[in-house]
Amino acid sequence: MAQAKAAKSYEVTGRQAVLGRAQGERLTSNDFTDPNQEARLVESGAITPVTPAPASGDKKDKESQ
Amino acid sequence: MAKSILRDAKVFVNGVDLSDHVQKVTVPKKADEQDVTAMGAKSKETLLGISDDSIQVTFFQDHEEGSVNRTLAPLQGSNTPFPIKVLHASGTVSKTNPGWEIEEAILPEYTPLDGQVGSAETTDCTFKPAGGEGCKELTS
Repeated sequence: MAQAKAAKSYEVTGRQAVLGRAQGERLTSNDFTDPNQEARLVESGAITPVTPAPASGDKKDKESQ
Repeated sequence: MAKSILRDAKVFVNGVDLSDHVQKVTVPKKADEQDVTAMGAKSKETLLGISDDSIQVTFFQDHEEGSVNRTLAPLQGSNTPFPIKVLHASGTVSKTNPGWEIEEAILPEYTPLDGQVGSAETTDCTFKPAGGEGCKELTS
C-alpha cells in the first residue's frame, strides 16, 4: 500500500505576505493550489523550503549499527 | 451608499500580497461588440460577443526577494496560469466590500524596468484570463 507523501514545509522569507502568512510564518505544500504556484513562489524567494530537523536518536541509531 | 476614497485595496498575485506596492488598480469588464446591422436597418444594431476582461495594476517596482519583480518575472510569458485577486478594501469580502478574481490568469507582457531619472520606478501589468470564467466578481 502506497504511503501518503509528507507535505513539504516552507517559511515565508520575502517581506510580502504569502497566502495570508507574514514573513517568518510557515506554510506547507498542502496550502498551495497547485505545484506551479509552489515552484514559482520558491523561485521568487517569497518562500524558502524548511529542512526538517533530524529526529532525535537518528545519529545514535546510525552509530550503534 | 457613501462615496468612497480608495486607499486600502488589496492585490494578491499568485498568493503574494503585493498591496503595499500598488499605485493603481483597474478592473475593466468588457465584451467585444459585433456589428450585426443588416439591410433595412435605420440604426446600427450591436450584439455583445466574447468577454474580454482583465485586471490592470500599476506597481511600484521592488527587486527584493519575494516582492514585485521576483513575483511577476516567473509569471510572464508562461501559459501556466496563476490566480490574481483584488479586493476593494482589506477585510471580509461582501457586497459592500467586493472583490474580483481571475482564477486562471496569465501575464502576456511585463516590463521589469520602466522609468526616468528622478521618478518613482513603476511597472504596468495587465493580467488576462487564460480561459475559463474570465474575471469573476466576489461578494461573499
